[in-house]
Amino acid sequence: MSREQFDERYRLEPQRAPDAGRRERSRRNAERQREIQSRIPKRPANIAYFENLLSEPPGSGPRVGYFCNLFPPEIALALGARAVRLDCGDAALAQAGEDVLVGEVCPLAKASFARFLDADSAASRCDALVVPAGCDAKRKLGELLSDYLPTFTLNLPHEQDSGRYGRMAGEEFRRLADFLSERLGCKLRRGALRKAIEAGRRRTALARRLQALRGEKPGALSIRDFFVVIQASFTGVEIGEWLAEAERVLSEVEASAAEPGRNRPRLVLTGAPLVWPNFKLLNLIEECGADVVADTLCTGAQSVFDPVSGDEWSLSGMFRALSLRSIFGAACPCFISQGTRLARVLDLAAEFKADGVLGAGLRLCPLFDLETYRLARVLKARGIPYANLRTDYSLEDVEQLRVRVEAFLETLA
Amino acid sequence: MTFPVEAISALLVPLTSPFFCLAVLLAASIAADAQKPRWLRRSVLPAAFASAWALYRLAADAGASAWLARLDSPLFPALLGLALPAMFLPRNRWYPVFLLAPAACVGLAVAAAFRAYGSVPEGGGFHWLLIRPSFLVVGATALLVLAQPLLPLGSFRRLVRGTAFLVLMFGGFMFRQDYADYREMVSRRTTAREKVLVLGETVPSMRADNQVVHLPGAPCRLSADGGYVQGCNLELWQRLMQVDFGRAAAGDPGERNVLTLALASATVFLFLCFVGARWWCGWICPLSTLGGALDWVRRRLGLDFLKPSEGLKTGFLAGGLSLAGLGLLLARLYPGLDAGGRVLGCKIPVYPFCKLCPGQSLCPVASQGPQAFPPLPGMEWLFGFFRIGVLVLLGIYLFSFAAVRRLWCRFCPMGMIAGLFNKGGLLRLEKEAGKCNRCGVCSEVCPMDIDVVRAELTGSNVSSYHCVLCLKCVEHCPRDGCLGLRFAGGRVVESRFAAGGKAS
Repeated sequence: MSREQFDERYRLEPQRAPDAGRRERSRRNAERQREIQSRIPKRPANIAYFENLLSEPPGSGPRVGYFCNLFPPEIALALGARAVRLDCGDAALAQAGEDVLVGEVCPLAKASFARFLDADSAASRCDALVVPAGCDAKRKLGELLSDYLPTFTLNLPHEQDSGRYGRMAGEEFRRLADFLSERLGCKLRRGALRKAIEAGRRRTALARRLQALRGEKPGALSIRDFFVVIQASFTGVEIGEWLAEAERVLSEVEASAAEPGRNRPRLVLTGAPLVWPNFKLLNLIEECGADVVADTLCTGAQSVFDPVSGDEWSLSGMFRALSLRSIFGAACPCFISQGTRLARVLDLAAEFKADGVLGAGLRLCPLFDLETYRLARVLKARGIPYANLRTDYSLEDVEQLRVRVEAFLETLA
Repeated sequence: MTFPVEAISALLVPLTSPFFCLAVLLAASIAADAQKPRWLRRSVLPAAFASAWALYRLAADAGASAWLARLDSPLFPALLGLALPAMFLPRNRWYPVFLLAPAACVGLAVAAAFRAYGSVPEGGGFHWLLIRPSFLVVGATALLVLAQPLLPLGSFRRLVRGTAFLVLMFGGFMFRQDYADYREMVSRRTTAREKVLVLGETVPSMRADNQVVHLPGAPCRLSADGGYVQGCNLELWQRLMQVDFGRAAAGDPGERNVLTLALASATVFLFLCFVGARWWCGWICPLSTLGGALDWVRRRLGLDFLKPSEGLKTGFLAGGLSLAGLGLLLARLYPGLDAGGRVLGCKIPVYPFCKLCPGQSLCPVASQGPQAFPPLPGMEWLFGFFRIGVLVLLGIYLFSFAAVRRLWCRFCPMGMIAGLFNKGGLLRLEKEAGKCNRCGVCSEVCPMDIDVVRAELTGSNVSSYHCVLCLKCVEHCPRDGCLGLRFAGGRVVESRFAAGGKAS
């Protein structure tokens, strides 16, 4: 079962390259980002809790590692496992991945793959992996990783037409659930899945309230801290525990006073995922004096913005409901039409009274690059200022990017 | 202390006319339409009010008043005075002030019921709740208006459906207007079932008030005194088909009476369809509430529903249309029946349409228990067509509600007529495509299996012919303000993610 998707004849021994120096560089990357964020003027009192989760993910119990926001973690939770998102934003690991994976592969895929080079890493301690076949890199990453851990590559329809492909996606989720329950030795129960869905809805409710409050008083919570809070919930932390801590952040933000005089430009951020600790762009935007009030990033508020909803509580009904949220409502550029993301950007820009839209392009991700063609023209036609910043995980281009951000902010004045 | 019931009722009389109600609703929809010029929007409401009042007085003074009076119903003041403000008034901190009005209505209804209770003679026995139709309708509406702000959309729909089911199915014996009326009902209930099937026995709502307001989706009149509004519109259309127009033209009082009754019923039916379209199916129809119970059982058991193919959906539409058409056409043969009930050698029942409808098997059972299940038609009726037909249709009804959600509602001819008003009526399902993420939850939860709501990206009107306006799409839409319902120009409800985080 665990290898049925991949050709057993050509299975390889997992390649490992433990490297103490790389571990140290990774640690320093995270430390540096923590240090940069410690200079944010107003921070939640318990932010260290979330930062610690990101650097030291909780370890005990069965763990399902997954990539992308296209996999619904609810399935893993319902099987009693921790759902750990493995998309990696570590520049040191991207470097390490480059030594093994040849060619023009995006830094996110390289860094994520490199997590497995170290047999002791949190990623290597997972019991099973799920890789949605979104982009080309992820489609192949699943096959590479199947040498390391039992892996399931989640087939996705290319067209987000739930009428045509909804049942198919539901069936695919059933296959995925069968795979996971076999690996974890646990039967998926309807009640457990429903409970996991409801926990996810509570996380959505909380993230929405935080997002709305940030729209009113962006100074009360930095976008970087907001991202830290959200991404901490992907580390496999018990959701109730995370909710309790996030509630405290929420009440702090609620209690903080609005700043009537705050006239920093308000931006909507769209584009490729920014994963801890690669918050280079977020650092720049805030240092240059702008606020990100909303985003469409699959690692930002957008990742948890949509709840799973429905009224069918059979397993297949819930699988379909999960697929509607995770696949058919996703703003990922790996699908045929970019309408969902465009509409979202326009809606956010209007709702949050944004002064402009900033695109985050990831070097070697052709999907986001190709989408900028339409995005730029549509925004221009509507008179919304837009700039696209293409970069990777390295810190070499920070000063060039700073010039571009400053120039863009100038045009908003 | 005597309670001024009569005085209050007299004051409300003009408000009970559907024509008055129509004028106000049309005026409100113009006033709420932002595209109309401002002066028109400002002046239209008082003008319509005044002219509707004048028209009403004129009609009341003219000779046609007797017929018009049959169309009156306490439903209309309840709609205008309670439901309409509840839908239109902004939900700010002043809204509770308006809620004093429904609270007063509930108080009056309770006081009236107490008053009726006092007039029961010593040792009168058990008689449920004695309440006049107007107080019942207004009181129930007021209760719903009071409950609405406290409930999420789904629970509110269940409450409305439950209330309507209670009133329509059991109201006939639970809510009689006074003690004499109750006793009379009890004595009637002991008469043989066959009497109920006699042509002259059509019993519109509450016998005594002589009114003919039957809701679209009313329960079957063949459940003797089970229902409050006994008399189904299609049953009256069937009666219309049976009229011998030659004798009616010659002045036959019996035929004329049937004709007036059926035409009055059809008039109000069309008006109610214009106001509510298929909302009646989604929120009121007791047959769909019964079916909804089957659906609930399926969901509790954790069973998935079957997704009907396009062919099956069309098949249901075509099947319902042809069977209903056949039933009504057979009714047309009625004037030609011989003494043995035969035409062209075939035995045809007096109510061919009703004989096939599952409502005539289900409503008596729902209101009176299993012993009320009507005897099956014998094989002599059109060579067994009716015997087989009623069983097959009952089976299809039960199966489609138990396994295919509301597939039955594509078969129902009353729904087919009401559906014509889904576009162009006062209700409009709306979508703000800019807020849509195209996830398709609307399509997934739709019991009628409609995909238009998801697919529409350029327009805002997502009403469609088969939509029963149950608003499940609005309830489950993950995007705030993306889907909504407009009534007479005002936004009544829109999608809003429940902050409590509770699914369904």
